[in-house]
Amino acid sequence: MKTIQFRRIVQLLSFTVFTILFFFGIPYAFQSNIISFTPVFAVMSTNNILSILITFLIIISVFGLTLLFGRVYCGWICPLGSISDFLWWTDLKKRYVLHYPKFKYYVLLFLVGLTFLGIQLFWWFEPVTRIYRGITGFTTGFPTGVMEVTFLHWAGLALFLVVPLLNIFSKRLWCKTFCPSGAGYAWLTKFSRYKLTIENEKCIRCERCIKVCPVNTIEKEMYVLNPSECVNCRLCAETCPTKAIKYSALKNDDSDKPKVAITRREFIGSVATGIAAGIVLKHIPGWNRRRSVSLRPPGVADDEDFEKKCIRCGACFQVCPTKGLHPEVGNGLTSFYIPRFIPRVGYCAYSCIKCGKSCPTGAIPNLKLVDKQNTVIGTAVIDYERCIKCLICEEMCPIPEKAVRIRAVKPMDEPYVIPDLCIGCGICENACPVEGNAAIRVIRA
Amino acid sequence: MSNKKLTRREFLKTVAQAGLTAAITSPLSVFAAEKKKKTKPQPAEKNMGAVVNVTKNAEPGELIRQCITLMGGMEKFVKKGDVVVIKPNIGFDRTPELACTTNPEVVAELIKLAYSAGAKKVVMLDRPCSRAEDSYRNSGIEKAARDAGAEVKFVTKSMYINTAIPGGVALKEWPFVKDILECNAWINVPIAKHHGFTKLSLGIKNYLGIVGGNRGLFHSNMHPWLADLCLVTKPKLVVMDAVRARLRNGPSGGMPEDVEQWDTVAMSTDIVAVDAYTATLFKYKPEEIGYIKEAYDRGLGEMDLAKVNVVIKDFGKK
Repeated sequence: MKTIQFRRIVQLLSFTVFTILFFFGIPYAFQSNIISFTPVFAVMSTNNILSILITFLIIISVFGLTLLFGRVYCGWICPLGSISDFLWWTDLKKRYVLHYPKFKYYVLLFLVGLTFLGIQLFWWFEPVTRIYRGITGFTTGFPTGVMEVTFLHWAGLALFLVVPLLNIFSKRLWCKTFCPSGAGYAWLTKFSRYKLTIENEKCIRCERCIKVCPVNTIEKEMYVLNPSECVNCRLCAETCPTKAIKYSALKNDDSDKPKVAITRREFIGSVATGIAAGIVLKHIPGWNRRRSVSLRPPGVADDEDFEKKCIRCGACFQVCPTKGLHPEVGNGLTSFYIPRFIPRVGYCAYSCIKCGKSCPTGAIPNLKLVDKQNTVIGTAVIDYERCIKCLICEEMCPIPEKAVRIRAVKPMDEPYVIPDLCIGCGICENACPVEGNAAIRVIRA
Repeated sequence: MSNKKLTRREFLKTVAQAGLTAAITSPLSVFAAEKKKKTKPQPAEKNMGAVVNVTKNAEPGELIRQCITLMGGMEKFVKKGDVVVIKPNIGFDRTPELACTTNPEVVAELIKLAYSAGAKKVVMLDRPCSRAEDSYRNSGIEKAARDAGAEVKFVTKSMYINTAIPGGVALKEWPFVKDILECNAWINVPIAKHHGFTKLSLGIKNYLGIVGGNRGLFHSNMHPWLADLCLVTKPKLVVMDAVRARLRNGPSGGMPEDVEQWDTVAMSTDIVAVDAYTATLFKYKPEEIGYIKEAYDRGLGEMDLAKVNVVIKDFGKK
């Protein structure tokens, strides 16, 4: 079997694994590791020892592959790259449209610069979270039908669709020009052991390799392959009539070393721009989150900490069985798209800990069921002006000792909340038959 | 206004009147047509000597087998080739030990008995208040029913049929689950438990699991509405599961301290009688439970236990 067919199979498998595990979330602990294929985030994942071990293995294998052959991840594993490859009808004629490979380094370094000010915007660009937001756009947004929420899910979907659509202008344009993860791997190729090279003696200057390469690795009339751009698709090697392109170990010879296409000045400039942008952004009104009234998934204590750890992959939206988790909007751009718990749409099921299990970064802590059942999300408050005394809230309350109880008053018995017992699961708010806003509502504790 | 020309005002008035009449009567006429289709509700088997058979103190499966023998065998209720629906109470996402949901062994035993009586297919369904998948799984009923060979069905919106309630006092129509209306026999398998709003959740209360719509509205006029639901369809058999009984913090409470082991099963074809009997186990008079009283007033069964033949068989094994 040709390597190129093998690659297609690996890509398909990887894509299927990413997607299926996300949709059906078979074992949730494993799912979190699948997202951790992106090693940057895996580092932060400290859910349990098995998870750490698996994550560690994944990091080792992804980095190891990169250190051996260069950007294998981009060409073989990344689901977003695979999607671009699967769009076979986007031809290669316009390959050089918007071709500016340096730009992805600027993006990466700009984002790094922002982190100096504690601003984490990596999630806008990272491929795996992009595709997952796209999926949650379909699966969570549509069934709930809550307008403001649906709009946001569509935004996630649009963010994802940009990548395949960019292929219209140029094949794998996203990977070539924008992807900061790609830039990271490209930088790592500096240390790669093997790289695809063109044997000068065998090369007959037919330029067929240049025509098939989707990522413009080979400069025109240069006949040298730049490994920091190469995604190891091996199309060139398969095409070459004289078999002049093959892996070879790096020589110590300086001229052969792959050049990371960025100067020191550009490096410093990008980071500095990031820092400067961070300073400016922090002073823009509406950038910072003000006092938040939104409820968060169980176990999330501090919004500021949370919005830095959360990579907005949407895995929690996806696994939440009641579809109660939705993207945040309208309270500062720093908190944009972090999960928000809306009990009226879906309550926090008493026997469920899926969001914590699915979170790849531990932003939502992976609580044990017993701990989650004692974790306060908020407190239910009854609006007696609107309460119709149906007592359904009391009926639904899952707290063993009953956080909502009935007291005998004239003319009708009424429910009341014991705040010390209430964990704010919101099943009462969800079930309240009063139209519109419920007469019993969970407020932030 | 025979010869007079019709003025515009009169014309509009007449049209409005006609429209209004049509608007008022048409739903009624539809309703009337529906009514014709349905057979009239069986007038009470009142004073026909309602029988409640009770078995006590044995394993749940054994209690069911013995009790059904007292009832005259499952063959009396399930004919060969019947499609049977078993309707337990899986109202909440709770484990069986907490006695918020019907005992899974009871459900499994009934399914086996229905099959051995010649049932073609046994369906198990309920419409829980908590998320259905969680409730089915954590109550242990899903697994028990599957292992016993029943088809486990989740109630979905497409399964509701808007049904007229003939003779309904407070309710005229309400959506019911199709399977219940279309099966040959359905068996009501409630668990006897405390209920904050209605005092007790028993057989008639279990009807809430076979209806669609916004069930929250039932809390506005619970007892008459519940009794009206019973007019639409009657279970061939009511099996009261009092193996574990929840005495406080019902219907969804989570404290094991509230649960008492009673090891009791009661069966009857008369839902009012079996509910009335179970109410007395909780030290209530039957008429104290609103829906029992309402159902009795509708002629759905016998509430006066003096007129009911209660047969108790105690195995004393525990």
